[in-house]
Amino acid sequence: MRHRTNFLIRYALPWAIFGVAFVLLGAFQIWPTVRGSTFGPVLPYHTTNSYLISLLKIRDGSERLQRALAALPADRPVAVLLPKDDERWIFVGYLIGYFAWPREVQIAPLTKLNAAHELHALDRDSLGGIFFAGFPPPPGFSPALSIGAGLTMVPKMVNAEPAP
Amino acid sequence: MIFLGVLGALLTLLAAGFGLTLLLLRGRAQINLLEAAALAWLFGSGAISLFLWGGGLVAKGAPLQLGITALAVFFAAYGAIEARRRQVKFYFPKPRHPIEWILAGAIALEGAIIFFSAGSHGLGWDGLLNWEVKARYAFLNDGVIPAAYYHSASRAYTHPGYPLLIPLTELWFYRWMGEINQFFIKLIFPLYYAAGAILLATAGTRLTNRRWPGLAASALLFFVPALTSAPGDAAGGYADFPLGVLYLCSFAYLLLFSKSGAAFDLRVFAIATALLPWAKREGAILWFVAVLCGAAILWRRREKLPAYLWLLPGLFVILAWKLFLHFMHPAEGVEFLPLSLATVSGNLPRLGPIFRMALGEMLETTRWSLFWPGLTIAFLYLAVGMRDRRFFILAFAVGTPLVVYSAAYLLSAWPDYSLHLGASFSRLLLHVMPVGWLAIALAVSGSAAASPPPDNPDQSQNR
Repeated sequence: MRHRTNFLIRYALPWAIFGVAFVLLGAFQIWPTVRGSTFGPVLPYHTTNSYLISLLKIRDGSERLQRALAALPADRPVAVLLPKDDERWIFVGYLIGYFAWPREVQIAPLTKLNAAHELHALDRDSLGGIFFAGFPPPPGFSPALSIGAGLTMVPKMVNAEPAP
Repeated sequence: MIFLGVLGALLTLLAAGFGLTLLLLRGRAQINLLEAAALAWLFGSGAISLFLWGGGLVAKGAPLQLGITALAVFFAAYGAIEARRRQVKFYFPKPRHPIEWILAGAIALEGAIIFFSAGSHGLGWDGLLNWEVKARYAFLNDGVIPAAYYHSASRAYTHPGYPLLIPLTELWFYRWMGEINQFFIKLIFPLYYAAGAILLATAGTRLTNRRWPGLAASALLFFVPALTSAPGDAAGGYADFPLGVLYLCSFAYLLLFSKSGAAFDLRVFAIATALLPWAKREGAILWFVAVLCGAAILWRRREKLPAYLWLLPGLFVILAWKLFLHFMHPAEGVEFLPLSLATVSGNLPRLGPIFRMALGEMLETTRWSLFWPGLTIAFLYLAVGMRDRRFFILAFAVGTPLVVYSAAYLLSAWPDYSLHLGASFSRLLLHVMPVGWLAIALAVSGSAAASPPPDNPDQSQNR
């Protein structure tokens, strides 16, 4: 009897209190996430599309990026120009890199100070296309294809190829 | 069609893992089917990813996939024949009391919620851009990660030098599905959760000789918010929780070996430990900790030299991967400065803030509920109240990585090391959290060692 009481006081009661407090605290954090979840959609680009909905305000962002990239030469790098230290556009740049394989992706963060220099320094002949993320392409960069809110692609024009 | 692909990938992976598990558990008269299934998932994903990596050096495409499928079938057949020859009995541990039914039901329900959560949310940032991206590029290159990827400077942000357990397991599913599918690939992460929950329950049972402490720890695991509802959670596609499950497996079987002295427990410990550096870079630190503890237990048990050889498989994995990277010259961003006395002494003033931030993270109830205070109390019970020598092993297993991980921020190359810590430390804690639950299970059991074993877990522990 004494052994049983001792066990209850030393082990069962403290651990029961801990267990209840632990479950309650955890459940308060977890429940809103579980309650707010909806299953699916069952799509091949489940993840990237859900990111691009919030980043570019489009529902089929992955497919659009795939289509845009498919129109570019596979053996030439693409450039992504984006505002420096802007997490949103850096992530968009990474997603372009995700879809652009096997092309090299040159990500160039721009500031107000270096923008003109970086644009001038672009070797446009060697690039398959240029993405402008977070700002529109400056005059002289055309044709400009809009992919989503704030993202524009300027493909290398076939007639801009240097003559053989 | 895609369901058939998922099924094919799952069955071949489990076949390889089941065969390996049966071979590792050779000598055990009775095998718990749930425990074997959990080990089959861990070892199956380890074996298939290693085969894909090794095989990918000499083959690609259909021959690679067919060869690995044949190996998986061979392992399954060999394991089954061995088990039949030794007349191994398989059993399903049915709950026997209302408490056990409630806890088992809770674990099943929690597993279902993790599956649901995996189907609801996408892969996390790192899950997509550090891990899945490698599977994608390998799939587009006929089943092998392209050599150009490793030294592509423009993909340094995807960390080409990270080990490949997760990406190549994902690749195996993509190969069988015949397409890249970010939805179905999330299936693999709840399976790591299920394996962790089962191993916690079964190891807790065998270590305490009672079922309820292991079942309770397993049921409570779900209520750690960092695991279920935070970025980098168990369903987010990160490598941290799978690494934590492997670390749990490693220490669970090491403690079982220290109790039973059975070779099959040592073998499972050895292979789980060997897979640690294959899951994530930090796995090499965990491997070192596990090997130190393994060596200490072998020494205390006065084991002969051949037993120490089981500490080596992980070293082969580390060296093989290092050698591979040496030839591939992977492009890497600089996260940490090289270790030098000057850097460490120059950054020593960071020590206080790092300690405060690390402690603050562990006391953050929105991510950890009361897990870390609970674990501290459990260690006090084990050390002072129960004078349980397993305390030293478990405290070393949890404490050493925490100290090393925290100290690493002395070398952080980020302009603001506190941002670096804030961005990564909570995920590093997931590596040791499952082992912490094992310590809690032992502490909660109280004087459980006096009770008889509940489901006759192998009294015939012949070597």
